[in-house]
Parts: sequence; C-alpha cells; structure tokens
Amino acid sequence: MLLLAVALGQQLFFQRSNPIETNILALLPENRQDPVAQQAFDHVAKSMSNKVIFLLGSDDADNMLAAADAFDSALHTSPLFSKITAKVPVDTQQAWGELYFPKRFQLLTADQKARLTLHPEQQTQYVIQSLYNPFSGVTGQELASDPFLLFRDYLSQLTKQTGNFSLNKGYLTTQYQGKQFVLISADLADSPYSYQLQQQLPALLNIEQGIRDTYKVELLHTGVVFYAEHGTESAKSEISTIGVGSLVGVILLLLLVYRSPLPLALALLSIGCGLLAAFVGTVAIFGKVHLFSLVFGASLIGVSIDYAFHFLTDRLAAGNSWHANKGLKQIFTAITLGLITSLIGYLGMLIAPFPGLQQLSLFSAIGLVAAYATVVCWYPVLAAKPSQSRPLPLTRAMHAWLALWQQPLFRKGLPTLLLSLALVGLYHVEYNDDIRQLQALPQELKQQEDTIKAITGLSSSQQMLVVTANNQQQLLQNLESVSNTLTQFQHQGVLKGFQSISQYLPSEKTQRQNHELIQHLYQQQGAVLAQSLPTAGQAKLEHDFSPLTIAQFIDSPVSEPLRFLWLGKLANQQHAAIIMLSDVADIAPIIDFAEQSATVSYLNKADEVSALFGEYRVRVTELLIAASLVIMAVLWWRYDFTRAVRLMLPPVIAGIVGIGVTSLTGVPLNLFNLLALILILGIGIDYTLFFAEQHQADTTLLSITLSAMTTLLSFGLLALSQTQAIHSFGITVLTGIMVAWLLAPLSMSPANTSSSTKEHNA
Amino acid sequence: MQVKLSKKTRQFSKRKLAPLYLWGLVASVPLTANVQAADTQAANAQTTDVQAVNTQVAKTQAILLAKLQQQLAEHSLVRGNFTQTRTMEMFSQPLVSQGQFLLTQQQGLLWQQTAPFPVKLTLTADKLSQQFGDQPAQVMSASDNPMVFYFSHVFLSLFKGDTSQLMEQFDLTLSEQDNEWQLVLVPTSAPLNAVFRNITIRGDQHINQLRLNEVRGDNTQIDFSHQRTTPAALSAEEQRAFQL
Repeated sequence: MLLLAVALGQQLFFQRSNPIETNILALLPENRQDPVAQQAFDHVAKSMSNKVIFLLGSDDADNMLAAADAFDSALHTSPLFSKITAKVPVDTQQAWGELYFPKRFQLLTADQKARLTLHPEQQTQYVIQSLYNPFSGVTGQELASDPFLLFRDYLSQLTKQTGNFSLNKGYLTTQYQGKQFVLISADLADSPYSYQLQQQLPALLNIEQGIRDTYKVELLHTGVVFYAEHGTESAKSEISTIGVGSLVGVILLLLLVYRSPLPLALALLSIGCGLLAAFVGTVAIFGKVHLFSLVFGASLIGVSIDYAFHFLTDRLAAGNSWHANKGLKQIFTAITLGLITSLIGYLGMLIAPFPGLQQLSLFSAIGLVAAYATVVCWYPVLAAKPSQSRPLPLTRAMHAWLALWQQPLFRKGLPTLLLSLALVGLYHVEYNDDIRQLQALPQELKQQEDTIKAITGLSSSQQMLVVTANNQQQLLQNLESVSNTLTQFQHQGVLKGFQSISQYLPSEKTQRQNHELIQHLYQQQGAVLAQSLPTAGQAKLEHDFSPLTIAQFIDSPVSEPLRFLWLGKLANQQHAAIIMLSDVADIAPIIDFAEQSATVSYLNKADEVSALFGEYRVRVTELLIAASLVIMAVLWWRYDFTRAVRLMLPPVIAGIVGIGVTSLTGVPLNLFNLLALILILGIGIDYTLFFAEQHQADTTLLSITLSAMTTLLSFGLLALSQTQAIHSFGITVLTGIMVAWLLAPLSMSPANTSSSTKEHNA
Repeated sequence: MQVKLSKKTRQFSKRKLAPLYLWGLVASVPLTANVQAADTQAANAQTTDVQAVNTQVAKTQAILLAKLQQQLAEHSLVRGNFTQTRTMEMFSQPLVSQGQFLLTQQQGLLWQQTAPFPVKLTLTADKLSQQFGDQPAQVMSASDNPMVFYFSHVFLSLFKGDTSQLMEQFDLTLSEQDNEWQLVLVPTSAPLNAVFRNITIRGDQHINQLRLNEVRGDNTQIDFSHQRTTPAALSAEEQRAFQL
C-alpha cells in the first residue's frame, strides 16, 4: 500500500505532464487503413484543433473596429495563444499581387482558357469595352503591363475563393443580416486538450465579457478547445457526482447495517486500495489515465466493496462466536471464484485492440484485485474482534423473499416472465455506432459555431480526400483532375465547395498550356487590338515561360492559411495533399469516385471510427459468448452440469433484460451497452456463486442485497451522465444488476433454502 | 454634423480583400513607394499641433461638405448627356465616348453609350450589367466579383458626390471659383493611392465634370451637360434596366 501511495505521489507531482488524458481521440485505435490516411488526419486535426475563431459584430462599423482593437490587445495579454491574427498586415495584402503578378502570363481561369481556345477575338472585344467602361477601373498602368487584361479575372477568381470577407482598416470584415462583423483568429500555445491550457479559459471569457460590456458588441467564439474544456468539465463533475454519490451511499448503508465505525473504515480501506492501485497501475502501463476510464472507474467503488460486504456480514451474523480466519475461510471460495469470473469478463475486453477499452478493463481488473487482496490479507487482522451481537436487519423480509423461491411456480415463472419481457425489447433493438455519441456537445457552443459558419461561410468539415503521387508536379496534376470532378459534382449539388492547393497553384503542365494560349492570343489578336485602338504599336509578349513553383507558393504569406493542405513527402516516398470538402449533401458519388481512383482516398475519421465501433460491437458479442462458455466450464468443473446451468441462468437473463429495457427506452444501442453486459455477467455470476457457496442463505442475501444496492447506486448515477454513451451504459447496468439480484436465489437448491432457514430459527 | 447614410451606400466603402488587379500594380511598382494605411495617417495627423490649429478650418470644411452632399442628394433623379475623354500616354489620341446617363438615389446609374459603339451599362449597389447592341445582358453580382465592384462603388460615390462615403478613402478639399464648387480628392490608402494622384469633381446644382488623374499622367475626364430632373418618373424600359 505504501509503495502504491508513493508511486501515486510520484506520478502526480514529479511528472511534468498531467497523467489524466482528456482527448477523446486517444480512446480510438490508430487508423488501420494506411499510414497516409493517418498522417493526413493527424496533420489536419492538428492544424484545425489549435485554431480559435472569434467574431465581433455591431451595427456600427467604427464601434466594431474599436472593439476589435481593444480585444486584440487584450488577447495579447493572455498566455493562451501563441499567435493572434487580427489586422492583416499591409505586406500580406500586397503579397497576392507580388506572388501572382509576375507570373501573369502563365495564369488563366477556366473561362479564359475556353475563350482563348475557341474565340480569342472575344478577348479583344473585352479589352476595348473595358477601356470605354468608366466603372471597370482600367488604368493606363494596367493596360501597359497586361494589354489583354487577363490578370484581373484570374486575381478576381482567386479572391473569390477566400470567402466573403473584405478589408476594412486592415481587419477582415463581412456583413450579415445588416450587421457588421470582424474576424479575429488565434492559434493556441498548447494542445487544446492540455489541462493547464483549459484552466486559462475562464480568463478569456472574462476578457470577452469585458469587451461585450464596454462596446455593446456581439462576440462569438468557436474552437476545439471550448468543446474539449466542456468535455473535461462535464467528466470531472460526473466523476465527482458518481464517486461522491456512491461513496455517500456506501457509507450510509454500512452505518445502517453494521452500526459501528470499524466496518466503515474497513470498507473505505478496500475501496481506497482498489482505486489507488487501479490509477497507479494504469498510469504505469499506459502513461496516462483517460477521463473515460476514470468515469467508469468511479463506479468501480460499487463493485470492489462486494468482497468486503460478504466478510462483514458474516462477522455480524456470527456475533460472539466470530473467528476472523474461519470467517474468511467460509467466504474464501466464493469471493475467489467471484474474482476469477469477474476477471475473465474484464480481461476479455483486453483482446480488443482498442486503447480505450483496454485501459478501462485493465483499470477495473487492477482495482478488483486490489480490493480482493485487501479483504483477504487485511480484514482478518483488522477485524479479529467480534462485533456486538445484533440480529441481522431485514430478516423477516428476506425470509419471505427466500421462501417465495421455494414455490416451483415462482422459480420458473419469474425468470420466464422477465425473459419474455426482455425479448420484446430485443425485438426492437436498434444499433447506432456513431462515435459522436461519445461526446456531449453543449447546445450553446454548437449554436455559436453554426452562427459563425453562417456569417463567415467557412466550414469545419471533417470530410476530406487525400491525393497522392510520385512527385510534386504529378501531385498538382492529380489535384487538378480531382478538382475538375469535384467542380462537376458541385454543379450537380453533391457538395457546396472544396479547398485544394490546385485552386491557387496550377501545375507546371497547365501553366505551360496557359502560356502557349496567351502567346497565341498575342500573335493572333495583337494586330486586331492595335487597329481598334490608336496605339503606337502592336502589343508583344516578351515574357518567356517562367512558372510559379510550389516553393514560391509555400514561401509566400499568401499560402499561410492553405499550407496545411500540402502534406509533402511522406514516409513511403509518396507526395500527398489534402482536399477539404465542405457541406457535402451526398457522399456516395464522392466515395465511389475515390474508390475508382488509385491516387485518391476518401477520409472521414468519424465515419471510420464509427464503423470500427460497429466491428468491435460484433467482436465484443463474440467475446461475451466466449467468456460465458469459459465461466460455464469453470462452474461445470466445480459443480454438476444442471447446477452450473442454474448458476449461469440469472446473469444471462439479467443481461438480456438489460439490453431489452435499454432498447425499450428508445435509445439506440452501441458498443458500450455490450460492455455493460460484461459487467453484468461478472457481477451476476458473483451473486449466484455466493448463493451456491453459502452456508447461511440470509447472510448471503443480505450481503448480496448490500452490494447490489451499492452497484445500483453508482451505475444509476451513470445514467444521469450528459454523454449519451455513458447514459445508456448506466441504464443497461442498472436494469441488469437489478435482475441479477432478483434471480440470484435461483442458484440455490430448494432444500438448501429450507434447511438454512430452519437452522437460523433454531 | 453627421449625415445619415442608407444601408446601400454603406456597402460601397468596403475595401475588398485583395482589392483589385491594382494590387498587382502595386507589386510591380518598386516598394519604395511606401504605402501608409489611412488610419495611421489620421492618427499621426491628430497628434500634430498644426492639426489643432486647423481644427476650426476642418470643422467648417466638414459642414460645407455635408451641405454639398445634401444638396446633391436633393435630386432623387438626374438625367443628362456625357462626353468621356480618356487621355493615355500609350495612345496617340484620346479615346472619346458619348451618350446619356440617368442617376437615381434609389436604384443607381444607367450609362447608355452611343458612340463609338452602342453599349448599355447598369450599375446598382450589388449588380452590374452590360448589354451590347441586342445581345443578352451580362450580369455580375457584387458578392461574386468583389474586386470588380470595388472600383465601381468608388465611382458611384464620386458620381453622387457622396462626400461622407468618400472621406473613408480620400482627403477632401472643397473650394469655390467662377460660381462653381470644386472638390479635390487625394487618395489616402492603398490601392487607390498607387493608381490615382487625385480626382476632381466640379459642379453647381449638379456635377458638371469628373476628372481622374492617374499617377502615371494618364487621365479620364467626363463632362456632363443637359442635366435635368425631369421626367421624374422612370420609363418602363428604365425600370426594367434597373431590375437586374
């Protein structure tokens, strides 16, 4: 124990990093598809999750800009951010021109290409018309550097892709429903899942409120960090609710039943040892404990106390004739068998290559072993003194209940009734493996995000295509051809838009074609243009082919918001880039297209993980059946076959009822409900084993009742969780354990019951 | 004295992202022509003593400008003829065009060029259409072509004499000579200051002349004549033209 405590101290205080992991993604297995996809996803996730977006809105533009100034300088005082992007520096504004203008004879829009190919004379017409048109803003300067006025359209198309923002006093501003909005974005100084960083958020909210109050502006924010912080907070409050709730319940029960401080101290000792060992062991093996494991782990309190109850109830029943070692012997077989069967259940989950599950099962298994060890090693020593002689509480009610089990009708009727009820529920079972159920998304944050999306036209889709090639130029060409397909899809309404490097940087091949087209135009139309205007001479193209290169593009501040799309060279010597898809209405044609193309793969982490969840759901079902068979074999080896079946029946029925009732509440099931089944199996077997191994039915019933109550308490509290997955897990365990408790006496042979009752009455 | 602006004209002041091909020009000019942002200039100006002395003058100017704007806005509709002369270094002679115009405070500007070739242009707050002869009109919307509209909006403000709008991008100086007022506008920020040395507007009841002087010495001059406020109602054809 001391060793454990020291280890915990060392983990908590001497490690720089926080041993508690809050990133939901850490629960998930690595991408099994291929390393390219995993790399692409990590890359995008990193660049996206570190961003925070703010929008300030006001009816009055000047007031909005003043608020933006104040907010910008206030943000600079916050340690949250490594970079704040508020005003666009003048050199960034000019960078577009600096990058593209010198390369104007290699750049054409799709419309211009078509025009120069089919009707080059139209370009000449266009020049003449624009010259006379006072609104077109053509100056002598522009005409001198670009006689056919080609570049303005290209630049116009480029800026069209940058969203619906304009510059006002250096700020990016836009209008929405008659209000002016200004966009400010920032990069976090650390991971959004860092606990230290999340601690700074309240200070940020204060800054925001200050700006709202002073300037009477609307101020919205969105970013992964806000969701992450909400997740951390809700998990923290759930852990404390469940933990404190079950602890208080356990303490009250102990005081009510045993009415003395010693059992209470003993029980707390075994809970403490269980949790401590579980935490330390998990951190030692995984390096971190996930919040999810902790939430479930908190409910371990109700399970790890069971062994203590059996010991303490026996002690209470024995009264003055108590011998601690003898008492332990009496329950030793039962609790050891109970531990083994529970461990079979838990460790079954280790087989699934799912970091989250592995951790959960390991956490629980270590906790149970530690609690068991505490009872076996310490209790006989600490509880050597007999307790005050008192009649067991609730004796009459328990007798009546046990007597009921003497009726053959009841013995057959109750399980059948429950089973048939559950089968109705099973008939309506629906599965939903969507990973998004794992996260409780707060309404208020979601709304802000949606408003920001509507105002900015930016989208934060997780759907993307990864495009690969053997070299950079080939990659740019592949991107161009994928973009062409996506543009067709856009016209068909399959998706609203997409973002690809090729929209900002044509491949060298395309640039060469453009240059040739422009050369043709000068040769063909130069004379025509000269005749239509009183020029001194004919326009000549004196620019040799000089393409815009990927290096120039990446080096320019222009590409800053786009760079994350360029993955560059991967470990497998392939070059890769990402195309982000936005507002996809129908994903099927896009997936089909990606499947038909060797260089394109569709990537959606959420969908992929959800599919994985479905797969594991099936696998856990298989595991459950296997674990049940193994437990059955153990029981068969210890008892005869019919007895073994009688022991197995209550937990199996309990499991079916748990699933059935959960589906009747209208919640679709997922992997976590099946994990609940593992618990029900493990705990249910404990109950029947104790009855089978009992020497006094009513003490057994009392201790089982007590442990069922504590289990119900802790898991019942899980049902209150905001997170859908935890909530339905709670409901399944709640109903399952209740049924397991109800049916546990089935494992006794009828004669057994009467004899023990007689014995007690004597 | 604040002049209330309509929502529509408010949109005109937007300096669009990557405004214009003009950026391309700025990039091609040696960067020694250091561009100063309008707001820093204003900030600097405010700290000087000269400015303090001139505050009174500036106030008077502001009142006069507001009055001018009001006076021009009184006519909810103006019709007239125009002659546009573009003088450019690269051309041996100026490019001259002629036609009729119709300006309404509500809808915008109709620009019907008759020579050297017929073309009908319609400019509203959020749309621009061009129609050559009897071909179908080509319509562009501001949201799709922010860069194209950037200059169009400035032009429309000049045309209306919308001084409060123009102040965002120009230093305005109002003077009077020969029974005419003259307004000289010097652009204060990129990209306009990289292209225009100044813009002058002259007029009395109406605007009589608009002249854009480019940095390189090229210029565009538009002379208006025959301005009238009748017929005050739009013809069916004019109505149609504005309904883009």
